[in-house]
Amino acid sequence: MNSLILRTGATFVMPLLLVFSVFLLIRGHHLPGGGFAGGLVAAASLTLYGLVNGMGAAKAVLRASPEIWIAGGLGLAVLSGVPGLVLRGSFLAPIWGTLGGVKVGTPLAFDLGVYLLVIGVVLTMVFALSEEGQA
Amino acid sequence: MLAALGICFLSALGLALGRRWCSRLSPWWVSIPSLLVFGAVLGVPQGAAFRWPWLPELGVEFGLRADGLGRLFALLIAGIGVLIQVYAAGYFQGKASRERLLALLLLFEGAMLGLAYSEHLLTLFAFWELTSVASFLLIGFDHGQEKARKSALQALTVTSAGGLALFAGLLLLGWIGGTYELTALARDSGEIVSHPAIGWAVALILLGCLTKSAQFPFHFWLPGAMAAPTPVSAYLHSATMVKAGVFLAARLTPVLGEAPLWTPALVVLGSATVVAGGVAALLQSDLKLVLAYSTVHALGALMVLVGVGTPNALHAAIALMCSHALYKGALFTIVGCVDKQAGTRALSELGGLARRMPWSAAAAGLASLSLIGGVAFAGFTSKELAFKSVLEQPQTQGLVAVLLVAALSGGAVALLLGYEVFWGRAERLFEDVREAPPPMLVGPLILSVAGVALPLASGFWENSLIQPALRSVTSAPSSKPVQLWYGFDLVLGLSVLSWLSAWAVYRRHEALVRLGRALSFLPSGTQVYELFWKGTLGGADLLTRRWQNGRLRWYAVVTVASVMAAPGLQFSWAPGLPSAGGTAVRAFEALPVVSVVAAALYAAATRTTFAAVAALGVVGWGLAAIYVDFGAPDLALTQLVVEALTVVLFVFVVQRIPSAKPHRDPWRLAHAVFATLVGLAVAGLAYAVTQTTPHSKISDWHAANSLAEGFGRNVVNVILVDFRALDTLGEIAVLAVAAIGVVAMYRTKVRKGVEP
Amino acid sequence: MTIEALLAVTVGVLFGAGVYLLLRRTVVRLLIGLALVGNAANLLIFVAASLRRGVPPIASVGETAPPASAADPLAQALILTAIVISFGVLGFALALTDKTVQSAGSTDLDDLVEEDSS
Repeated sequence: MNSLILRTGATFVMPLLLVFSVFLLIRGHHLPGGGFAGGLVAAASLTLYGLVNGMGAAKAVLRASPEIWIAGGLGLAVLSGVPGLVLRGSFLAPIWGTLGGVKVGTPLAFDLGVYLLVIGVVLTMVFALSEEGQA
Repeated sequence: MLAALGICFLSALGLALGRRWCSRLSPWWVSIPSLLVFGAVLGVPQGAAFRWPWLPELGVEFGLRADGLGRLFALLIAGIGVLIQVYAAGYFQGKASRERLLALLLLFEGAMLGLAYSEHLLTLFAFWELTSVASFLLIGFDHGQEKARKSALQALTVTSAGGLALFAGLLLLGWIGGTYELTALARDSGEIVSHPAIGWAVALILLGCLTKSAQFPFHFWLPGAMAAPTPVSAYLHSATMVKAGVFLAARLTPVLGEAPLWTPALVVLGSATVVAGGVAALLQSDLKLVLAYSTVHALGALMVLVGVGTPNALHAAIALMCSHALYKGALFTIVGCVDKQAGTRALSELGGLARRMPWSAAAAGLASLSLIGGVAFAGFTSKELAFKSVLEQPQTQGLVAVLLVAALSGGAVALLLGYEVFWGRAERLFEDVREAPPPMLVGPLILSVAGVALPLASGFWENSLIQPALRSVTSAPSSKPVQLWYGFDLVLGLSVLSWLSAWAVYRRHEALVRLGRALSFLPSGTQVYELFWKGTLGGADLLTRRWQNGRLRWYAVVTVASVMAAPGLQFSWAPGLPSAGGTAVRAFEALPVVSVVAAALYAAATRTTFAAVAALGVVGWGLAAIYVDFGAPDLALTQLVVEALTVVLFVFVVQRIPSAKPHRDPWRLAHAVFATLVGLAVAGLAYAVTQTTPHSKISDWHAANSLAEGFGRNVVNVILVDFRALDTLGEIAVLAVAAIGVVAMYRTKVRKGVEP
Repeated sequence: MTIEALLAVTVGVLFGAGVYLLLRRTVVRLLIGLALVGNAANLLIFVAASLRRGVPPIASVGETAPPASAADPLAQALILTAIVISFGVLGFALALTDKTVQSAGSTDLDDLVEEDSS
C-alpha cells in the first residue's frame, strides 16, 4: 500500500470516480447505472483512497460519519414516498413535474436516497473492519 | 341472549377492574350481576336467534339460537350461578381475592351460556375452549399452592387436548355436512352418517366430550381439580362444566345418533366410568373426593343414557342432568360449609354436626334423599326413568347392572354425607363449631328444596323444561312422563335393592377406606399422565440434543438437504430432463464460464485462504462477463464493484485471523459427496427451468410501460425506483440494518481470549 | 451443447463448491462458501429468466419500449438488489466472524461448540 504510483493514482482517481458515480446515478434512469451502481462506485473509490492514504483521510472526504449517510439516504427514500401518499393516496407512487425544462420526479429522489445509503453502508463496513486491525 | 352474555363478560371485567371498590360491599350486593344474568336468561324466548358474520371468508359465523335444550342448560347454569356466587361471596368474605374469584366465575358463566346457546359449530368450539381456560384459572385460583397449580395444568392439558380433537372433529363434520349450522346438519343427518369419513369425526368429537366430562379413562383430572376452592368445585366440577361434554353429546345426537361408533363408544366408556367412579367414590375418606368420584359415576351414567339414545333414555338423561345438578351442587356447597366451619373434610373425624349446624344438616338431608333416590324426590324420578328406558329394549337390558352400580354408590355417598357427617358418632365433639353465615346457606337450601319442589310441580317441570329440551334432541315423544310415583313394579324393586345394598356398603365404609389405602399402589390415571409428561419432555430433550447439537455444519447439512429434497426427489422419480432446444454456445462465451467453474472448484479445493478469496474474485468477474453477454449491463457493473469490495473486506479480516492449525477432517469425503449431489440437483433444476419458463407477462408489462409511465428508458432502474419502489425500500432497509449490526458489534468491547 | 445447459452446469458447480465450503471447519471457508452460494443463486435466477444475447432492456431514443428481443428486466432488478444484499450480509458475517475469532481465539467451528457447552 506504500507504492508511490498507487498513492498518487488513488488520490487523482478518487475525485474522478466520485464524479463518475454521480454521472452513473443521474443517467441511471435511461442508461445502465442508477443508485446502487453509483453508490457502489463512489464507496469503492473512497475505499481505494482510504486504503492508500489511511481511512482517516477517507473519513475526512466523507465529512459526516457513514451512519449519518445511511440515515440520510433511508430518510430521503422514505420522504420521497410521501408526496405520492398525499397526492395519489399510495405510498411511493411517483409524482413527476418539470423543472427548468427537465423532467424531475420523486423516483429520482428515491434513487438519490439509495445512492447515499449504499455509500453509507459500504463505508460503515469498510471502516469498521479495517479499523479493528489497526486498533 | 346477548344481554345475558354481555352482562357476564362486562361485569366480570368490572369486578376485576373495580375490585378495590367492590371489596367493601356485602356478599349480597356483589352477587347482583349474576342475578341480572339469571333474569336475562329467564327472558330468552324459545327459538331466539342471533347471527353475526365473524369470519365470512372462512364461513365462520357467530351464531346463537335458544332451543329447548339450550334454554334448559342455560337456566341451570344461570340459576345455580346465582346461588354459587352468593355462596362464594360469603365463603370468601373479607378476603382480598373475593372479587377475582367472582370475576372469574362470571367469565366462566358467560362462556357456559354461550356454549348452551351456540348454533354454529365453531362458535360452540370457541366457547368450549373459553370454559377450559376459565376452569384452568379457577382450579389454579389458589396459585400459591403447588398442588393447585399442578391440578390446574393437568385439567387444562386433558381438556384442551380433548378440545383439539373436538376442533378437528367439528371441522371434519362441517366438511362432511357442508355447513357448520347445527339445525342444517340435523336435517341432513341421514347423508352425513353414511359418509365414509364419519367414523373419524365421531371419534374425534367423542374424544372432546369424554375428556371434558371426565369419562374413563380421562376421569383422573376431576378429582385433581378438587384443589379448587369449594364454590368452584360445586359450580364447575359438578353442576355445569363437566356436563358440557354430556350436553354436546346430547346436542349432536340428532346429527350423529345413527352414526357408527356413536352408541357403542358412549355406552361402553360411560359404563366403565360408572364402575370406576362408583368404586373409587366408596374408597375415599375426604368428603370432596367422595363427591368428585360420585360426580364421575353420575357423568358416566348420563353418557350411557345419551348413548342409548332412545327418546325415553334421552328423557331420563335430561331429567337426571337437572336433578344431579341440584343435589350435587347442594352437597358440594354443604361440604364447603362443613370444611370452613369445622376445619376438616375427613370423614373419619366428622360426625354429629347436626346440632351445631342445623340448617346445613337439613339441606344435606334433603339433597341426600334426592341423591339416594327417595320417593317423590327429583332423584327418584330421574332414576326411575333411567331404569325404565334401558329395560324397554332387550339389547340394553344389561345396562341395568351399570345403573344399579351407580345407584348403589350414589346411595352410599348420600348416607355418608347426609347421615354420617351430621348424625353419626364422632370421636371429638365439635363444641365451638357454629352454623355457616346466611349467604352460604341460601344456596344449599334452595338447591335441596328445589329437589323436592320440582317433582311436586311435576307438570311444570315436565312441560316447561324437560319436554322442550327433549324435542330439540329427538323428534319422537317419550312415552314415560315425569311423575311422582310409578307404582309397585320391577323398577321400584331395583330401587329398593339399591337402597339396601347402599346401606350395607355404608356400614362397611371404614373397611373400604382401608382397602382404598391398601390399593393406592395401583397405577392411577394421574401417574400415567405424569409419565406421559415426563416422556414428552424427555423425548423433546433427546430430540433437541440430537438435532440442535450446536454444530453449525450439522445445521447446514440439514438445511441444505431439506431444501434440496424437493428437486432432488423429483429428479430421482423422473430422471429425464425436458428439452425444448436452446441457444448454441459461441466460442468466446466458453471463457468466462470455464473460468467461473475452474475458480469455484479451486476455491473449494485450495488450502490457502488468500487463494480462495482470490478465486472468489475471479468467480465474480466471470459472472459479470456472463451478465454483459446476456444483456444485463447494470448487473455486470454492480457485480464488478461488489466483487472488488468483497475482496477488500475479506482481506481486512483474513489478515488478522490466525491461520487455522492443520487438522484432519474425517467428514471431508462425505461432505464432498453431499456437495456433489446438491450441485447435480441444482444443475438439473436450473436446466429444467430454462426449458419450461416462457417470457413472463409481468416482465413484458414492465418493459412496455417503463417509458410511458416511469419516464425512464432503463427498465431495470424504473422497476427499482418506481414500479417496485416499496420492495427496494425494504431492501435498502435490510442493508441499513446489516450496517447497524456491524457498528454495534464493533462498538461493544468483547472479552478477549476466553479460557478454554 | 446449448448455453442453457452450460450455465445450468455452472450454477450446479457454484452451488456444490459453495455447499462444500459451508461445511468446512474453518470459519473463513464458510464465508467464502456463503459468497459462492449467493453468486450461484443470482446466476440461477438469471438463467431461469430467458437468456437473450446482447440486448439490454433499455429503450433507445425515439422508441417507446425496449426491442422485443431484449433480456428480462424483472429478473435483473431482482438480481441487482440481491447482489447488494449479499454483500451486506457478507459484510455482517465477516464482522461477526472477526469478533468471534477474537473472543474465542480459534477459527475452528468445532472448537467453538465445545467452549459454548463448557
